[in-house]
Amino acid sequence: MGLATMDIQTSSAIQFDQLSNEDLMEHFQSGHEQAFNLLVKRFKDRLHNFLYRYTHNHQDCEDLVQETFLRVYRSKHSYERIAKFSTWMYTIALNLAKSEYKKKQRMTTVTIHKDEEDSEDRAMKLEATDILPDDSLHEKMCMNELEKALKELSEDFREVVILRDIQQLAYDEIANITDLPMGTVKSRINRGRSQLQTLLKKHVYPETISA
Amino acid sequence: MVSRLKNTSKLSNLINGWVENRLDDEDYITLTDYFKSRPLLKTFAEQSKGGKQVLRNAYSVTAADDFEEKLARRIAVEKNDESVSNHPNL
Repeated sequence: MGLATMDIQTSSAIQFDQLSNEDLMEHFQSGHEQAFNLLVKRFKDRLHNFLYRYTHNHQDCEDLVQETFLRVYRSKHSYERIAKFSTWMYTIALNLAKSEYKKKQRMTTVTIHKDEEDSEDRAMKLEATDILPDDSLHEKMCMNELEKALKELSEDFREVVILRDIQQLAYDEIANITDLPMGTVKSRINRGRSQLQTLLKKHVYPETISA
Repeated sequence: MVSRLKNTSKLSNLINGWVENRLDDEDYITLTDYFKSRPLLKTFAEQSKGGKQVLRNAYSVTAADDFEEKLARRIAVEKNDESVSNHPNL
């Protein structure tokens, strides 16, 4: 049955939870807010997991996820079924993350994560000029090693690696979201993973190989 | 076999497949043979595999319990603003 012919009064009979994301979006476009709520349920954790790699801060991450869903809500009629819903939504999220990341880079601050075992400790931000170039000081910072490595990873590599290895999206979907050729996506994923591992091990290999 | 891998796109595909453990037997043998003559490439692929595993094992960040409630409130505010601004008497 086409959505255009479906009476809104029959919505209670629709088994929303069995519909695809794209079907849900079409129902939402037809006025069923319940469909939007279900999309939020399906994607809220995945989006948090994705955007946290850009913000490295729970509050900023939550703000970005909310903003992503708000844009989905406001722009529902701009979605066309030719694209997968997840591709469309991740494109919105990625653009938001990029602009937030640039804003943060301009601020040149670094977050010192709070010590979870110390109830009186709290997360704080330091201006870059406050940070001494002392390795031992950096070692004392309670930063998650992986987050730090991800931060250091170049943006081109980071976005595709996160989309593939954390979000587990298909290569063609990543190519659509990032607007890159498939070959570039695959090559960047290989190089990004390798660079990440290098950063984690804190080794520097003199040779680089372009695959 | 080796000349086949001079195509960088094919090589990139094979490394992706090797890292993600989804190569068929033929491609697996082709690539592991190729690694024998390209130790740096093997190092690169192993690094790539390590990076992938680290991410796969990384802890997961999830939404707060009241996330949906807060989002619903923001949407309600927005709808309210919209209805006020569209009010015929304004």
